[in-house]
Amino acid sequence: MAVKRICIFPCGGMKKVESTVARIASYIVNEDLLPGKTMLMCVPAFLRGVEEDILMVENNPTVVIDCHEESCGSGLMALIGIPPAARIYIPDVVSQTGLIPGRNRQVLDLVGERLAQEVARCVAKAAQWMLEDQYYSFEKRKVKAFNQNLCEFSDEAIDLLDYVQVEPAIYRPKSMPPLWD
Amino acid sequence: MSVYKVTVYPCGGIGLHVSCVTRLAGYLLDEELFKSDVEILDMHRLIRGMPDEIELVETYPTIILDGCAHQCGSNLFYLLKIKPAARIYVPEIISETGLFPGRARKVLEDSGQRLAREVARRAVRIVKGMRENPNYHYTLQKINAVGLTLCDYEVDVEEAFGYIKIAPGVYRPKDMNSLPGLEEKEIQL
Repeated sequence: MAVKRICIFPCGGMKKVESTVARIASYIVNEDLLPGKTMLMCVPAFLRGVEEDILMVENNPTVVIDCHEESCGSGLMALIGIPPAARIYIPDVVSQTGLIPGRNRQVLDLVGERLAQEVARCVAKAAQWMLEDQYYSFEKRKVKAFNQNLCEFSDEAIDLLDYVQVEPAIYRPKSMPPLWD
Repeated sequence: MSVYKVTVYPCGGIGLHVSCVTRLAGYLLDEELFKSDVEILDMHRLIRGMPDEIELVETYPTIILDGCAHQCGSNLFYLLKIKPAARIYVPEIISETGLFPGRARKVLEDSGQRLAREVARRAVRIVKGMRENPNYHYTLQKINAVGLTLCDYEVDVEEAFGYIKIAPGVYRPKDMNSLPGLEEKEIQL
């Protein structure tokens, strides 16, 4: 089916400055770069069972932003049985651009803001591809909500996503439709 | 056991502007108002299973900052079978103070920043009471996160915890310790 909107799932953490970068990047895409074409997945609301947050991830391709090697965003997607359509990996963006997150979590420093712009550019590139490529097809999936275990650290679930690199910082699970790779 | 540190759990949302308010309130508490006495809970790292986050919620009393009526912060603790020591409910603070989250999420407007400071101010009273009152005790809890049903909106978290209202916007589960400074008149903070 043709893609009308994209769900963006920034890691949304609190501790690391990189998570602020991911959050601001999401706002840049949602408000400035692709207004009206993206939705932001709110994990606490999703776990709560707020319908719109469940439907947005079931019915639309998701771009997950992992801010750190802990990969909390991908971990949750793997747990709920919905592979992301693309993953943006901030450590790659840092390596590639030389930009750093800075030190301010409340309001990003200038360098952190530039990094957020760069992350947003990667998100928007993947999202725009899915929105505009007539051959990109997305299959709806249902969330696995029952008999789940949280708070168990394992890389196994993420390994099962079997990410392939599309270009520096942009990945997709092997089982998901190709982007421009 | 006496309280060495207090965990603050801002709801962690992203879409609603009020989630930016709880986030800023958490940073104010963690970086400016208390530093090492308070630590922010990162719920994404917690559900990922990072041991330091698990230890944080099991070992120290937690104040949840619920940003909106969905009460997602309380819901996560309900899922993990951990009781918060206190809960601050931002919609009541909005009603009481007339401060609004504003319309900017990247950087909060003045009203949103003032609201965050007000949320943090209420948390300060609770933290100080827990830290300074020798009669306040916290019992370790263990997360039980096996075989959960996620995404179940039917759960009434207020009822599940038996929240009782201590002051405008401030609650605690009925079987958790009373909050010094808020429920005991003799302590003035």
